[in-house]
Amino acid sequence: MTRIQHSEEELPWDDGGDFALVDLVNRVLDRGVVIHGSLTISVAGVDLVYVGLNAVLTSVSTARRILGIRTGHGSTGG
Amino acid sequence: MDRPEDEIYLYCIRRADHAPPADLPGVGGAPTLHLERGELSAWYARLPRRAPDEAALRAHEAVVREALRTATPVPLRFGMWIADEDALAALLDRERERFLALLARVGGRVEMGVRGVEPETREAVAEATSTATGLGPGRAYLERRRAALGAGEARDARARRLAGLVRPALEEVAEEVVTVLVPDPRTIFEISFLIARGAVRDFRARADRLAIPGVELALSGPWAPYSFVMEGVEG
Repeated sequence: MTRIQHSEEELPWDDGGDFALVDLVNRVLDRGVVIHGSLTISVAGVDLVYVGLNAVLTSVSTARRILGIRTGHGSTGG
Repeated sequence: MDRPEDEIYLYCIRRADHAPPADLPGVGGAPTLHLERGELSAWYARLPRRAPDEAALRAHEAVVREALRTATPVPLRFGMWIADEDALAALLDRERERFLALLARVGGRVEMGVRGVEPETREAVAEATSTATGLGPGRAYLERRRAALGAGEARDARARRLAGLVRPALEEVAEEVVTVLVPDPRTIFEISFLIARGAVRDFRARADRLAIPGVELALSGPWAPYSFVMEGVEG
């Protein structure tokens, strides 16, 4: 059964403040559709990512550390 | 002009109903392009592969969010590069049914997040070193693992209980829910909800009314449904 998509009214963006970096990182680094044979590959069930053209494959958690992204402490800001 | 070092950076897959705006810079400041194959469209950029940084993560989400404005797309994870437009067209053709199924699953919906954090920082596990304990490095490692597991089990039980205080109030307006317990030492739980686009205000009002003793709640969204399209496709 097809779902008919009506034209949508604007989503109520919460632009009172920028989203927390941890919420962004948790989604774009760990979730979403993955293209295998692309930047991310899996070895023994562990997702690995290229951090740079000449970089060694590393895990997502290590990539976060390399990017200097803290994933905790506080609910707002980066 | 196509440079030999250019590759395709993928943002999202959506129905071919809207093109990206002309002035939407994304990763590396590159303009956002689109490729249509039948009823599908991919939003992408064409630039040399580059090392990721925080600006690139934010640029990825900015483009996905722009796509989300008009209709819910299937977002790609950050960092998905493929060779060229031919490979992109082949990907859309080969995985057409998968993408259509994902679009059907998330169509008309958005993702909202509720994160529970400690009101003050607490370390869950004390670091043990072979020097401090006098154990050899192998034994010290095993001791740390054992300690971590013990703390982890108690911590997970607490996280499960607290997440259970949040979910019921918000589940009512959600189509699907994903709960992650203790994703990092300072986060007790992270719950993502797939809700109808028109339910965002209602969801926010319900979340604002929640007050869980000992837990600070951080609400986020609307997001594209990253947490509800976690599948792999062959490149």
